[in-house]
Amino acid sequence: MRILVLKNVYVDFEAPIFMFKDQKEMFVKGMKKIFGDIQIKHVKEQITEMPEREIKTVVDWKNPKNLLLLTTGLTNEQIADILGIGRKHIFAIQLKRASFILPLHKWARKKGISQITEKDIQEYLQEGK
Amino acid sequence: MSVKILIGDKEYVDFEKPIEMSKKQKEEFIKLLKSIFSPSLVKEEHIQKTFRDWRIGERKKYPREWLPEEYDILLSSGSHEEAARKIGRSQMAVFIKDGEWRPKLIRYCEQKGKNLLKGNRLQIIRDFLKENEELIKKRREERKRLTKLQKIKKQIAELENSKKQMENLLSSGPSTVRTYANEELMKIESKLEKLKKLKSQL
Repeated sequence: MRILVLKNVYVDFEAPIFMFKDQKEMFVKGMKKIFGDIQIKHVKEQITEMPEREIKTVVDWKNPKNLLLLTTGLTNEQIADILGIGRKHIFAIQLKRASFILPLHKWARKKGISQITEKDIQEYLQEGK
Repeated sequence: MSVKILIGDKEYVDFEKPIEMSKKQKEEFIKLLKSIFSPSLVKEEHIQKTFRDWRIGERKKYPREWLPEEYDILLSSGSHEEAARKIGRSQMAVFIKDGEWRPKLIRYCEQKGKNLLKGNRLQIIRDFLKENEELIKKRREERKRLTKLQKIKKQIAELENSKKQMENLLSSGPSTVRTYANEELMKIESKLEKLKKLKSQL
């Protein structure tokens, strides 16, 4: 998060910053404390968030074998080929990777596992993760 | 002078324009951000030219380069929300980045025999990003070289064509045209020589 400073006087964000509700409240409160007089303007943004939709599962993600593929260095395209689901489903793999690997790695670190195996994934799933 | 804060309906926060701050205010401002986000990420950077010329609501994307420390937070966080909170990005942005970036890092670690679960993560990330950047630079240069090469090949083909025409004129054209054709032929040959030399250097 770069805070840009010009001539040692003018300060700006490098880019807008996303804040959760409580963070926003903290920020506004803190800014009031520092600058006293602040004005808040609510703005309609143009950025596109992904719409909520029903996602049809094309892969059996309960199968540890399939999940193990996500933890490897294979590309999303290669995984799609191995799973035989066609490359139009690459994004489904990317999303599954994003949601699956992070908590799995956290769990593995806790357990002191340095190389994740199919058995580990089975255990991970059995723990209801 | 009043400070104007823009709050977007998609939860982004911005300033209406850069803010004039005293040294003390700037210190407190940085301190405030460090108390909200991961302190290691909040970095003061002195610039020479100017600030960005757009604000929230004026664009569909807010480009912001990912720092190695942000990737490290992403790797060590227990959830995407936790990572998003610490780095000041939306959960969706973090989620999408994770699915796209992490496999590449894992692939890199597999190739280099490094282990993300027990090694020095931040250093691994830095090395990976550096190598990735070099790879992108190389690819860009190669693309540039190929484009240049194609352009030269096209020019050579055109000149060879013109050369043939001039040679025909020289052998069978009227005498007035022959002088012109001879001069043109010399020019063409000189250009061709230069281009062929350039081609061999690429």
